[in-house]
Amino acid sequence: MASPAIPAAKGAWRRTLDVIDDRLGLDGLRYEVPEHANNLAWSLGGLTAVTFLVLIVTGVFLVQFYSPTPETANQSIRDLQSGVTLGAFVRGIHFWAAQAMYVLAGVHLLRVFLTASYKKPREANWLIGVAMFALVIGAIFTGTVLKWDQEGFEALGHNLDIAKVLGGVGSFFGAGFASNISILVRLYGAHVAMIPALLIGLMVVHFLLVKRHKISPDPKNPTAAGEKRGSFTLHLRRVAIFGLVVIGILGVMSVLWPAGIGPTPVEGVEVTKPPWMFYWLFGLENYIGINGILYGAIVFFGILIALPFLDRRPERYWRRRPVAMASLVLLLAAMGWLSYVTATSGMTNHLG
Amino acid sequence: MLATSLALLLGLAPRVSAHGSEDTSNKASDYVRQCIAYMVNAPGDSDMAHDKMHDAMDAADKDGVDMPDVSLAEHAFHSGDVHMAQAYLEASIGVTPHMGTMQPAKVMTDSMAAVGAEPGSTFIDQPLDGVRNLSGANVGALLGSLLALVLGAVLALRNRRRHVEEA
Repeated sequence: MASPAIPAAKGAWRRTLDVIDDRLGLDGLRYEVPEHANNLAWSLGGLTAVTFLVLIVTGVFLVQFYSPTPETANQSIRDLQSGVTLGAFVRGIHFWAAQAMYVLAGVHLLRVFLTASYKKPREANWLIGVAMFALVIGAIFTGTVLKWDQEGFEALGHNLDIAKVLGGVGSFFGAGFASNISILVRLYGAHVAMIPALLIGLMVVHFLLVKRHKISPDPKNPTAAGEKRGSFTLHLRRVAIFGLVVIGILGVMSVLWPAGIGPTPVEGVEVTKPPWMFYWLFGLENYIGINGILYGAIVFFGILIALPFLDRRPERYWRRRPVAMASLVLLLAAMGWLSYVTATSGMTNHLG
Repeated sequence: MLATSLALLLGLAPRVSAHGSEDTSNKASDYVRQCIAYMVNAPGDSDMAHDKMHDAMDAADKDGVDMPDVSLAEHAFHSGDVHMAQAYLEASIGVTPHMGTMQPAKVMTDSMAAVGAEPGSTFIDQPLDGVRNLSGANVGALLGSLLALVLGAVLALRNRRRHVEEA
């Protein structure tokens, strides 16, 4: 009679992990994902989360030195830049990470669109992703205003004008909602608490739904025939490695191209352009006035929200979705053209 | 749908004013501040600054502005000395000129904190451009960032090779 096999003794590291896993259930992360999930294109959502983490860490540092009142906000950032060890570096990382998050979230949305991953049964998760993208834009807008320089103040002015256009619905976003305090204080609250809290909440649901519906199939191999499968923890490791590259790039950019700050603001002039991601809306304003910003945002997000309900065919390969692809090209061309016009024209050409 | 939406937007939406187009003031002090803002934010665009200077001279309410200083600013502006023009404008509203070494004096006479959408600016500061500073802690930060970048790239490539071999 053969003697039973003796299991190999576990190392201290493994035993420690087992103790933690018994309490926290981290083993639940070892669910199966297909091999293609580890590609860079399928890791963009994870990389967006990495930049969000970077923003939270650097943001915690920045709030220690930022003074959210109109009289002192601009100067407090100057003091941080010049008087705090690594203050300019950390602010630079925050500045570039915000733009990286916007780009990564946008490219992630694009990848989901191109692989039709928004289709049944992932419609709800697509809508959550769109909502998170809107929150990212909101975070960039409020962050721009917090600098309280001419650019930030003019951005705020546009927001207040749109709030007026919206009437009663927009009153919450107007300065009159709480007229006894500065709107800067309210936007500070939105930037450091409300928007991050909403993002974290939606992100948790987003990840849980990814687990529930599984990683979307590769359109070239919709049945996953012959494709190897691995653990989600391997995917996390890939994201962490890509994230290390992103963090390194952000650090290098922060040192070589540090963030600046404009002059303290003055009412009644329009002399700056918005951050580049708002160029297309700024261009629309040139054509149809302040309502253009509102209409542009409504059409853009309206298309994103309606997409999974309009495009319900099961086809996922991009070459066999000509209408969807033509619409995408048209949308990107319109936004690109409006951005180009804004980038290449002087402020004197801006309507107003 | 997209084309229709854009056509509707560009063709049928009512043409309304842009942000700031209805902002008018009868106060010379507002126009002086706006003039300085143009000089600081758009030094290459002298027309707007010039217009604001004239708006200040024509304003009905000249309280808090030393108008002779505004006239001196205009002369300096016409002679091409923009910095001196800015200094006269700053002096006209009680701000220590930016060319001096002293901290600018506060121009707000009201000690109440700014509320609503008031800018609350006590003076108009110069832009602080991001200055590349390759010394001290920044060198360490740069080297640390480069290390993270290279380490991440090497691990990504190594991991990818293994990933391909396993497939």
